[in-house]
Amino acid sequence: MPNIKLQSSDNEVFPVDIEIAKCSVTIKTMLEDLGVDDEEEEVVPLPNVNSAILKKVIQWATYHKDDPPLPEDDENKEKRTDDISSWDADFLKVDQGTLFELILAANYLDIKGLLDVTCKTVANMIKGKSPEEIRKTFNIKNDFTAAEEDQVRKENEWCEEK
Amino acid sequence: MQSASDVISSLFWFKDEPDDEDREPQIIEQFVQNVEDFSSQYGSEISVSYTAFNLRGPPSNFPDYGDYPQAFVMRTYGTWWEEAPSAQKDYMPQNSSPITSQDFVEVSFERAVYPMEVSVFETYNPGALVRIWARGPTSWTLLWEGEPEYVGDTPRIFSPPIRQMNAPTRILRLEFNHKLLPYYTELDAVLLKGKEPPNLVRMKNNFSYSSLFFKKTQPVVEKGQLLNRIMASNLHETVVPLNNGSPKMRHIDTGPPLGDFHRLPDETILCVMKYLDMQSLCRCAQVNRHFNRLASDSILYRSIDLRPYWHCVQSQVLVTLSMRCKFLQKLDLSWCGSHRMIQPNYVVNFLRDSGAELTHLRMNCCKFVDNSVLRAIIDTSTYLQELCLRSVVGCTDWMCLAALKRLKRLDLYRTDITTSAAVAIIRSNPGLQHLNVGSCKMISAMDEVAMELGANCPNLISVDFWKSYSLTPNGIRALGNCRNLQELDVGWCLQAGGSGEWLAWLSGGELRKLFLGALRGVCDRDLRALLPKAPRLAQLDLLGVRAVTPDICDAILAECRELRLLDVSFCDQIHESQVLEWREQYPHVSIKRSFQSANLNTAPNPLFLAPSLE
Repeated sequence: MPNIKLQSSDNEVFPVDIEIAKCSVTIKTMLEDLGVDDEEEEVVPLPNVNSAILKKVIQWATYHKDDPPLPEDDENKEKRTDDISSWDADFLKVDQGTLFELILAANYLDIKGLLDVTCKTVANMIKGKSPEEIRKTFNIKNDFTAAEEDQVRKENEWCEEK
Repeated sequence: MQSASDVISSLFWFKDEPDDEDREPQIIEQFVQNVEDFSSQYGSEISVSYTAFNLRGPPSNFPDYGDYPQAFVMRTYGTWWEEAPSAQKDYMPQNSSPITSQDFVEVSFERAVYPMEVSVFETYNPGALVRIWARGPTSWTLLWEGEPEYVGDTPRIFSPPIRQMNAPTRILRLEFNHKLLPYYTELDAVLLKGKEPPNLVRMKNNFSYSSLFFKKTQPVVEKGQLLNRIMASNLHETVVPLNNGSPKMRHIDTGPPLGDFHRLPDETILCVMKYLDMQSLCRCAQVNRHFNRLASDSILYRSIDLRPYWHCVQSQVLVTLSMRCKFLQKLDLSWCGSHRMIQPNYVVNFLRDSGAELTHLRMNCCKFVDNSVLRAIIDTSTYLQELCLRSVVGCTDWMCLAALKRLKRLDLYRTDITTSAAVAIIRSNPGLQHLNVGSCKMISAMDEVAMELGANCPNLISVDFWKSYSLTPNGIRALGNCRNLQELDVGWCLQAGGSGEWLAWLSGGELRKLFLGALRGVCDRDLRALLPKAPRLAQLDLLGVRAVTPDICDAILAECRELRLLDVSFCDQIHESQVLEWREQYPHVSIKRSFQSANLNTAPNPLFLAPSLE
């Protein structure tokens, strides 16, 4: 299998099997647009991904290289969050910063499978938490005025158990 | 011997103690006085056998164990209906709590009490109860919640530990999940034990209502004595520890360094929120302004399912949601709106504001559906492909639904739609693929419905005529035109069961599921004619088809390679030993054989064998 080279934002170069690299729609499109000859060893710069994250992304893509393509139809997509494979769950046992970086990378590189599983992981961190617990979990500041907060609570507390 | 009503009224009897203002509040035990609502039943609308009605009063079978018509039986069990061609998917699977429910029944008691104990008498395949709710003055309280379980063949009184409630109740709603059960679950009675509110006791004294009770000439059974007697009679009492009763203290693992959430672009936060259930979305909306804006984004509200929130959805919720539902395509409001929690005019306004792009709409068991709601549906939701109105009664203008032209699925189980309205709707929806008109007691000429289907709906995949007493072979014959028919349920369509010759007219090529329960005229020859034409048959119900012999079952098991379910309950000519043999020989087929504990392998219950009495 021919390789291509992916260059991280901090200038580290990773040789990667071209088929694995193409799980990123961004890279695939780039290669097609450039009309890259498979024989050449191109260097693809990825200025939005640092080496630590790029390494993780390549690790994920290598493990999932034989996955069947995901359905395009978003409406029929399974929206459960309890179906994360044990390999992915282990892979995503990382600190919050890394998890968010992976989401950003998956979004930028357009890797649907990785974006799905990282977003599911964050969704699981939100599920079952109160608004205050969510704020604490993600270090989010409450910027509602007292009146706004009151209004918002009134609109959204209907599904809380009394 | 005391009659049941004597025993039950004696349970309400108060000992007239000397006036004592400071005495303890009375603790009383009551069986169900009335069944207020339910989602499905095995029995029909015109008889009490296997109906929800049987939950009334003290137990009639307990501690006997087995399949008895005096119990409440729901329409489904296991996962067979989810595996059938007519299976329906949730609109918002991320909404499903870990403990989903498939059916409910709502019961009322004569006197309001602070509940102390709820005991459910389970007399066949126990384990399906997953939630107990109590209705307070304005809201529902969850008394208990637990996983469904498979307990095995044993009768039990299930009395899970329940949560304290700070208002008296006389209405309970029970939710069920029977996916783990090998066959129908049967419930015999529900006993509510609780304290009467003190003011009522005083009132009784003040107005000396107690004198009314003196007039009784019946021997008085002490409160609780009946239950004690039942308890003493050699049975299993199972108490399951509370596993979900109290909210667990959650340790918030903020972990090592918090990430910088603010760096995530909105599109990825929306991507996260797509996986959230309704409650989590509502909580996100209260986090801060940014979260509020995102969690209210209409892109997250294209497909919403409020059924899991039936206990808390009030009219005002529809007003709030309407602002978020600009792109709404699928809406499930099933089970919502009991006790006037939702007013029809709010539903009408919601549909007018947000219903224009609806393709799927479920309002099963919704009391707010009236003519105005039906009209709002046809006026605004002209693209509807799926409409489910199970157990909706009280509308007179069913005919107006014929204005819909694009329906693929129509579920009218237990509604009061008439023949002419059903025919008109079918005529204007030639693309219909799934139709359920089971237990529609106002359809007096089901043959006309079947003929319209045959003439007009070549793409029909499934049709459910369960308990349609006016369906005859003439109607079913017309279905021969539906070449793609995969599922036919004609269980208890007794007029169709005079003979089974019509089976030969079916186009069996795609047939996956065939339910022939209680069609006594169907015989080996009829099934023999169908077999070579139906190689893909996966589910076959021959319950009570008394003429079939082991020979044809041998052939079915050998020839239908995809067969997974075969019900030979109450098939007189098939012996238990034969069933055991088949189970060994065909382990991939689930062979069902209902039984009654007292007289296993002897004559089936006479009530069952006289369906013509229904």
